[in-house]
Amino acid sequence: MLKNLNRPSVWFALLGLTLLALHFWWQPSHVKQLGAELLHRYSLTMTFDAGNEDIVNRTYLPLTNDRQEVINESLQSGTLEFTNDESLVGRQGIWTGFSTTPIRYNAIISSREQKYDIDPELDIPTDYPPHLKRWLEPTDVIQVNDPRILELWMNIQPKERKLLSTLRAIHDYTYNEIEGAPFKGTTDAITTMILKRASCNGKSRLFVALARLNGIPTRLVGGVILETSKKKTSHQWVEAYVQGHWVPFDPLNGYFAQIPHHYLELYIDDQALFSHTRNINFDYIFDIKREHIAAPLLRFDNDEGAFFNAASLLAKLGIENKTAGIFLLFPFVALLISFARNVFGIKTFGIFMPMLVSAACVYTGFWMGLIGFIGVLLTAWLGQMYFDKHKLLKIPRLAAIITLNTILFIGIFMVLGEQTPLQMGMMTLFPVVIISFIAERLSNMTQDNNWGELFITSMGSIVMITVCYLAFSSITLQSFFALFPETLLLVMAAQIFIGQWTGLRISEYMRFKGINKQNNTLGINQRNRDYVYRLNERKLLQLAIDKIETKKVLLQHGVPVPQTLDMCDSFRNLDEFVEHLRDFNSFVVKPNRGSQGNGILVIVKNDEGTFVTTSGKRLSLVDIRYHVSEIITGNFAQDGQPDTAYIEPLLIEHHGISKIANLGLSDIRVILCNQKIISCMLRVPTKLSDGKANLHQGAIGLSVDVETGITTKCSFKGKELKAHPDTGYDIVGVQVPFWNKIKQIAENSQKAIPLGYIGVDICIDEKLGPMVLEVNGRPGLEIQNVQHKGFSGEMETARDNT
Amino acid sequence: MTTPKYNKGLSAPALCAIALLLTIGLVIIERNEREVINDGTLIQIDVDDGSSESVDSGSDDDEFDIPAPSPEDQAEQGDITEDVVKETVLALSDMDFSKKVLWRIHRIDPLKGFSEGDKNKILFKAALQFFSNGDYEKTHTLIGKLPRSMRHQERPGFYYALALTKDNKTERAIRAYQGQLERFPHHQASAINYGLLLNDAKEYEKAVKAFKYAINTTSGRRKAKSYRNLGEAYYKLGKYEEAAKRFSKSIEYQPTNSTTWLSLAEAQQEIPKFSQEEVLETYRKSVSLAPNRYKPALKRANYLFSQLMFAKAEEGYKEARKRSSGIVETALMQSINYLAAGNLERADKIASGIKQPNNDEEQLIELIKALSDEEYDKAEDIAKDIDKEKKFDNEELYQYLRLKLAVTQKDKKYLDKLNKGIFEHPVVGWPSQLEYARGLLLTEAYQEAQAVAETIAEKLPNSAEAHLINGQLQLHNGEQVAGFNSLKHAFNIYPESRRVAFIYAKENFKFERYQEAINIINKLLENHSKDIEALELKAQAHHAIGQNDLARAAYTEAFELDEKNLHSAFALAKLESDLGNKQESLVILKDLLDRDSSYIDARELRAKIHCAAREYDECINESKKLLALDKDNEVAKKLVEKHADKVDSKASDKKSPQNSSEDDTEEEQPDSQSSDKESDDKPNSEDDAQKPKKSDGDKKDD
Repeated sequence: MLKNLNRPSVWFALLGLTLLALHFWWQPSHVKQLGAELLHRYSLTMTFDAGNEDIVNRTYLPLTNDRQEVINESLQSGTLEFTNDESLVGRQGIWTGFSTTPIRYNAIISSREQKYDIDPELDIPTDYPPHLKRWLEPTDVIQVNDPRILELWMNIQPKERKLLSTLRAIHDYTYNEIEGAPFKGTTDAITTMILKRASCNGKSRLFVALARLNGIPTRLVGGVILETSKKKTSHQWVEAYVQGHWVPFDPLNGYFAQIPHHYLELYIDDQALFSHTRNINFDYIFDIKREHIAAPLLRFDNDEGAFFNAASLLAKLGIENKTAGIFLLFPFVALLISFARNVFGIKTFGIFMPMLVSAACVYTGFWMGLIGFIGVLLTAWLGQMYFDKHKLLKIPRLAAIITLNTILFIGIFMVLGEQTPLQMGMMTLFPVVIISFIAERLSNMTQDNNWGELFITSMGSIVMITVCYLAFSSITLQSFFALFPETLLLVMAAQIFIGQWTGLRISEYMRFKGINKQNNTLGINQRNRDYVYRLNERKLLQLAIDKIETKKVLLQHGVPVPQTLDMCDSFRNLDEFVEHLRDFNSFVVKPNRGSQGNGILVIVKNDEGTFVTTSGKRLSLVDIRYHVSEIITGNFAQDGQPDTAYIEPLLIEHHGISKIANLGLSDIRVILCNQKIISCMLRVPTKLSDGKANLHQGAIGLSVDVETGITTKCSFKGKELKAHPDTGYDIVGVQVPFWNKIKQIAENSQKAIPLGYIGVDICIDEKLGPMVLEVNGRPGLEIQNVQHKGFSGEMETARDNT
Repeated sequence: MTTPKYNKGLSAPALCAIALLLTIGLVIIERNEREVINDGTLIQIDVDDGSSESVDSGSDDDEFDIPAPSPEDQAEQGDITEDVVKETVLALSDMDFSKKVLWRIHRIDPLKGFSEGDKNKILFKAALQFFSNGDYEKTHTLIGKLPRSMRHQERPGFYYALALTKDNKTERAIRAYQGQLERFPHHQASAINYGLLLNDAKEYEKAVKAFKYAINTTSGRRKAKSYRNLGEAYYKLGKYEEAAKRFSKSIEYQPTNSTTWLSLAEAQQEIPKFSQEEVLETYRKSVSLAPNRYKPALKRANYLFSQLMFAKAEEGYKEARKRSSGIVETALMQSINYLAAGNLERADKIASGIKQPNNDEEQLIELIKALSDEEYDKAEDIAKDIDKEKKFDNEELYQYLRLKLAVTQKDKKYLDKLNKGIFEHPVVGWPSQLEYARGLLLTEAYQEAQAVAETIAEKLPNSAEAHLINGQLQLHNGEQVAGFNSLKHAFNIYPESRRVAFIYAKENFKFERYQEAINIINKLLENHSKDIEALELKAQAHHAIGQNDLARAAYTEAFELDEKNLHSAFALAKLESDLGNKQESLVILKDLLDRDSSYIDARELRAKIHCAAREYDECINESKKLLALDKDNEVAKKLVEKHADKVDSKASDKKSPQNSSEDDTEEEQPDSQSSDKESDDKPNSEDDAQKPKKSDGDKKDD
């Protein structure tokens, strides 16, 4: 138990929890603030065709009052001059001048429902203060004194003339008896009464007329109903004066003494919402989006003496609240990704790419973002294929792909036109470049015909993008990280924990499901943490990657290696190098720091300047020159840095092995840990693997008994076989020649290159006997499947014995 | 190490399970939060809120809100009778139950036979009784003893918090209110009282929050009250704009509340956006809404005083006095205002009439009296006494008066080391600056004085006083045009003021703009027809431009206005003699000397006239009489010397003893010095004499 305490993750977790507990205790009010807030993004676009004249355009803009709050206003008025005219009626925006660009007004509106509970005993007052008198007067469209209105009232009046019952009678009549109809223009009270049909403004006017008739000061209120839509309709309702309150009524939608949360009030009294210079082709549209947002990202001032709100710091820098929310969640999402990778084993294109793409999705909307992502990926991939055909070098090729993507985006913008939300721009900013790099891997996979892996990786990416998107758009998480930034310590603790965790990944449970019964399987996490990081020095790992250097060192220690015939590390020597190739009948061109057999070109025959590969393809010297130049550029190098190409003589497979496999050079992988041979296997190329002895690419793995050197089991693509799938030869029970010498060589190799955990690849030449092709500082774990046996225990014993 | 073979600790499925649990938790919370529609508010409009439109009852001070008990509370009495409660109160008031646990209290006699619940109800009623008796400590101790189920009900919880508040247990009261509001978020009285408590505890930021909350839950008059107190909290926080907004809002709900108007005026006063007129209008509203309350009137008058509008302030103070009669604060300010306006007599009278001042006020009153009686040495002594006090209640008033004293004394040292902090004071700030400018003027630091005066005039464009001093200083510094403009401005703002008009006329006279001076005096005389000084100045001006008849008429008028005003007569005589009308002059002088035989100047003049007329006997005779009155009289000696030997006359127009100092009539003039000078000296000597006059003049009128 005490040992457990001695871990950074525990410390961080304890610290984080302590701070969190203190925070809860100190500021219990913060918990209440964690909630979401319902907001409406309100946008008004006004277009017009000014001709050559100056124009004047007025409209009412929302203002903050008891019930509604305007947050983050922004205005684009082009060259027009804007004035803000605030009066008792409302807040009128006035634009004057000449401009051709539309006016855009954006704001975030937070509004509440308000209900009034009026005492039924309340009488209608007989007199009012002078400033209210105006709300009792008749107007042209509210004909209070018309006898027909009085007649109507006589018919509908309640038994008892109390304030509430009067209002109730008026409301019930206008709501129930007058049919709602989408009339345009102004309908006055009398018309409404006669037609018995009206839109909101007719109903409201009749309401007002009846109320004023009864001596209740009443006024019209104009505004907009907030709901996710694009529309042109505004709304009108009524407010009656009751004891110092203006009590709202909506006779169209039946709100009695109540105003729902999504009503936005713009002006008071019978006003025109828009007024503008004549004949300018004026048009407008309201674009309203309803959304929830984490309250702490928006409200910083209403916490009493809060000692921290991380979002407020960002807001002070002028960062928009959505961006602030994403920023605060980056560490958490990074944790999700590391969890997915190290615990689940989900494969994605690029490690943190899903995080960035999903962040962009927050701005564009999920589906839009996903489609954009797939589109970009597809373009990049097609571009990659196309440019590959024309044999472009790596970096210009990437540049060209970025250009292609940019063109694609411009195209999208052109098609979508003006409706594109501004945030779409975010999409182009960061993920595009990254995605373009991913395209590289994508094309490599397709070249290797690794469709299965391509599919898994794509699905993994999409899953991770979804998960990250969900996390980014979580209000709970946003508000929690804003108000309780000490939670980041917990996130860090979790990240450290995952970093130290060496269990089998979920994906490895699948991969090793056949052999995991002994519970002795070594997983990637454990391999890396307990062996590679612990036993293998970085310098030596670098050395192992550099094959030419490795060969030199091995040679010095008397380990047999294939001869290096020639090498070329720059374009200056390229021509000379290529010319030199003519002298050889058969040879192998290899990248010095390649991996997984990529970039290895095997020439079996020199037919008068035409070179024949293993698979029978005929290549000219120019083709080979291109291949070598690709190697030099670093296309096959593990780290993408400029590389060296070298040639080795073509090794002839020893007959003892070639009798079971003749499709390429097989090799023997020996895993050693601290001078102890842990496991070994014979890797036999197949047609599928294109002559390469690489299990990933479809080679057969034959487990070899360490003691005797006899092949015991055969594994091909996870299945167990008895015979070679292509040739049908019996491949189990074959004695590997020179077995003792091979073991000797493997041990000597580890002595020469003292990596604690090492994989030595040895092949057997017909004439020269066993030779070390390369050593590997991070040998893979698939060998366990080949051996049908985990070696975690053996490794541990070997490790702890020194 | 004997570690187990493989994979210690958590396995991946376990981790995934943990992650899954966390995710499910998150999703549940998230779902709940997504459903949020912003909280609505419910506003109740009740019948008893109706008074919002009625006339101000005067009971709108920010007392704690105690709602009337609802009928249900009365109804559910059951077998709990008033008598039981009374007996319980009696029993409890004799015992110290603060250390006793509840069940011990339950054992007291009157409670016997009741069920547990009823016992608690009776105890709560008893607590209410204590509350109404004013025994707040007993109230909250008793309610605090009740079980939670009882204590956390609406009414007990409310009274518990209220009793704590009244017992000054602020910390506990705040907690009690918080709990109460959590349980009954719509209890209006609790919401308001909580805010008021926070305001009292000077926790204004919290109070702002509390009142914001209260606004959402209250209605009618309570809403107005919430808004007003929110405004007060903002005011205390120095957010005047916010405060003014809230006060206006409160007025919307309750337009007849004088207190709100008053607060609004005070807030507006701090906001530069509002003009003096607007602020005064707001004050006026407040004053008119509460006809019996002196506070608004006093505050309004203080504002006028601070804006250097002493005359209007005078009216304001009178109104405030009428409403407050005996309150020292008002009278004190009134007398100071008189003092500032230069009306020493009234200042003295008011100061003497103040009853029941406390020690500090007493000293201030003494100081005012000394100043108004022009007993400056005494004033100095009092000031020294006050200086010794460590803490003085009306420090800023004292500072102002001390400054005033220093100015009258031309105490340059005091002015130099004056603590300029007083200039920032809301009430005496500007008046102090005005005094300071005057002081600088008197100590001849004209440039500096003008700088101060200019700021005052700029900041207070509606104050005649400000323009007056500014104009005087500009003239001093040679900016004639600007100076006269300022003076004219002052005159235009307040043409009724004798003082402004007189100084304006006098400056005009000094700069030989006689016609303007006469015009102004004519206007002045329309309002103050009995102003002798003005008449004399007018006469001089007429004389200067040769309108001797008018000058004569003016002098005559001045003399006729006040028979005792011999100076005018003398001036008239002098005028006549200058004009060569010897006989008329002698008649006037005779009449003059009949009234006051010791009028030396008159005798001198008579002697000279006689000499000039070569009536040496009379001349010598007169000179001898003069010497009898004042044996050092140089003029007489000379005359006697010259004419004793009966030599030819030489001194006919040798000198013109222009007695320029209207005030110092009884004083001897060292005329021999000025005798060598020519008659052109008149403006100069006038000028010399004017300097002390200015300070005197300042005190005369607004």
